[in-house]
Amino acid sequence: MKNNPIKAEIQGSSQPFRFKKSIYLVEVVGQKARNLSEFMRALSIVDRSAIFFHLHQPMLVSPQAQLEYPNDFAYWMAKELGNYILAEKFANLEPFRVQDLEEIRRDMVSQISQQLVHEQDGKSVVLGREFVFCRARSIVLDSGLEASNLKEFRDALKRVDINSVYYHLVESKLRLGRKTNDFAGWLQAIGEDELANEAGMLDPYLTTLEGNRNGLIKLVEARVSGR
Amino acid sequence: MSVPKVERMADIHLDDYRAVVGDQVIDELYQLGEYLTGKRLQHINSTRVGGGVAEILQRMVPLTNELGLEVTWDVIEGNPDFFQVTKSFHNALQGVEMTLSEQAYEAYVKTNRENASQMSLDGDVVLIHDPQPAALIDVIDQRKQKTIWRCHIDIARPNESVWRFLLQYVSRYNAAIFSVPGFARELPLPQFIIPPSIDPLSEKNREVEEREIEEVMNKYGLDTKRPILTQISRFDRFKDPLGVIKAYKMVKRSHNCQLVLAGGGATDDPEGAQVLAEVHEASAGDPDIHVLLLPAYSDREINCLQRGSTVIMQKSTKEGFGLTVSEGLWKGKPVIGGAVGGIPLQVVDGVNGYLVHSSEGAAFRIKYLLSHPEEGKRMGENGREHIKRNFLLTRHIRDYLMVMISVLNPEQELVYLK
Repeated sequence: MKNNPIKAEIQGSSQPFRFKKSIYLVEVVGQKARNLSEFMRALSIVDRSAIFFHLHQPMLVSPQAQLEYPNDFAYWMAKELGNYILAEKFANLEPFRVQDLEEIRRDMVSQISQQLVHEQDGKSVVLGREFVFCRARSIVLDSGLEASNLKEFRDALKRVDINSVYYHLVESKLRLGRKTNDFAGWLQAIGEDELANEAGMLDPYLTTLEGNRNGLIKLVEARVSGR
Repeated sequence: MSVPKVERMADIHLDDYRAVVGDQVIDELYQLGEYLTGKRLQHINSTRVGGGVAEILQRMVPLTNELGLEVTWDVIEGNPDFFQVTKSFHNALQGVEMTLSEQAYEAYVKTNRENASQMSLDGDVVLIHDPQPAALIDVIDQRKQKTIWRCHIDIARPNESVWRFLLQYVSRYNAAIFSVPGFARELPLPQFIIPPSIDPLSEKNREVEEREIEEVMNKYGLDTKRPILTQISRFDRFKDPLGVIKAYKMVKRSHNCQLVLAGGGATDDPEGAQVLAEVHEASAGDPDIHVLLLPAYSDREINCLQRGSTVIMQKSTKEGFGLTVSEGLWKGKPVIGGAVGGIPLQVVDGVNGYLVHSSEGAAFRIKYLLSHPEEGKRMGENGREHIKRNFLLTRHIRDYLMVMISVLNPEQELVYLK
C-alpha cells in the first residue's frame, strides 16, 4: 500500500503543473436533524469536514447545471423545512471569502440563533427527510496530464476531468488549507503574476464547475493570444 | 423472450464502457484496481439469480476482476424455513410490526453456521450483502480480514427486536454501506453511502434502433405522433398508479396525450392484484390509457417504451431508491417523480425533471413539459449527464473499490494514489 504524504502533493515552484483529481466516497458522521434546533446543535459540533462536504456536494453532483440552491444546507432549509429566509441566507454564504470553515459555522449558527429567538424549534420534517450530516473520504489520483507552459496548460484544462478542476480550484484552498488555489500558485511560480492574480480572484461559487473551467480557459486564452 | 441476460452480457468487458462513460472514468477504475492489485474481494449474498443484488453482482464481479483484483462471489444456502425467517427479517427491518419466535432466530444462526463450515471465507475484504448472511461475521478472522456489511434495504425505522438481534452481528463489521443517508443507523463503525446503479449496456438500458422502438410502440397500439406519458413499476399502492391516472386525466383536458402504465403481471400478491383491479377500473373507457402486464425478460421492451415516451413518471408516495427514475433519465427523458426515498437524489428539481407531492402537481408539470417540448429536451439532456456521472455501474464499482481502500486505510480521510 502506497500513500504519498500531503507535502508531495504541493507543486514545486518551477515544475510542470501536474493535474490531479479527487474522487470521493460519502460517509455519514452520526448527526442528523429534524428541525432547526436539532440542526443548530448538530452544526455546532459536527466535524468541519462535514461542513465542507455539504457546501460542495451539489457542485460535484451537477458540475454542468446551475442549481437553485448552491449547497445542501440551503436546499434542506427550503425544500424540507420550508424556511426560505435561512435558505436564502445559506445560499448567500461566501466560502470563497473565508480562510477557515469555522467562520462559516459561526455565521450559520448565529443566523439560526437569531431565528430561534422568534420561533423556537420551528417545523419538524417527517421521518426520512432529516438532514443527515455526511463527509467525504477522498482519494486523490493523478490525471495523467501535465503542462509546462501556458498553451499546454490551456489545452490540458480543456481535456481534464472536471474533478481535477474541483480539486485544484476549490478543494486545495479551503479543505487543504492552501493560501490560494493551485492554478494561481503555479501561474505565479512561472512568473505569470497578473494571470495568477486573476486566477486567484476567481470565485468558484458563482458558477458551475464547467463554468469555472471555461472561465479559466478564457483567462489563459486571452494571455496566450496577447489580448 | 430475450436470451438470458447472463450469457449475452458475458461478452461485455470493462473497456466496452469507454464508449459510454469516457476514458477518464475507466482509467480511474484501473488506477484504483492497480492500488488494490492482488487483493481478494469476496462478495456473499443469498441468491445467484433474481432480485436487484444478484443482477448487479452478475455484472460487477466479472468487470471488477478485469481490474487486477481477485473477486469472487459466494451464495449461502438454506432451506425454505431459513428463507421464510429472513423474509420476515426483511419485512421487520423495513418497519413491519411482528414478533419472531426463538426458533426463528435459532434457524437463522444455525443456517449461517452450516454455511460457514462449508464455505471458504478467505477474502482480504469480505463484503456481505443484506441480513441473510450477516452472521457469518462469527467465523471471519478479523485480525487478518476486513469485513463490510452492505445493506440494500431501508432500515431507518426497523422493528426494534429484530434490529437488536441483527445488531450483535452488524456492529462487529469494519464498515457498513447504505443506499441513501436516510437509511443509515447509529452504529459503532464507519457507514458509507453508495447508491445503486443501472448498467448502460444491459438490455434495459443499451441504445436501440428507432425502428425497434417503433415496433414496440406499434405492438402496444401507441401513437408515436402524440405525447406519451409512461410509468414503469409494479402495481403497488406506494407507486401510486391511481394518482398517475388522475394526473393524466387532468392533463388530457388540454393535451391529446396517452398514458402507459407498465409492470409485472398480476402475482400471488393479493394487494397487487387489488391495485391492478383498481387501475383497470380507473382507466376503463379510455383507449389512450394502456395498462401493460409485461412478462419476465421484457427488459428490451421496457427500454423501447421508455425511449418512445415524452415524459417518464415515477409518482411514488413511498420508495426505496426508484431506479426506474435513473432508467428514464438515462434515455434522455424528463422525469416527474414523487419527492420520496431516493427519487430526490436522481431528479434535480427543475434541472432534469420535477419533484411533486400530488396528482395536481404532477399534472401541472406534465402540462408545462408538453407545452414546452424544448424544455423537456433540455431537461432530458441534463438528466442523461446526471445519470452518467452519478448512477451508472462504473460509478458503483468505483465506490466499492473506494470502500475497500477506506477499510484498508481506516484512519485516513484523504488517500493519495500515484
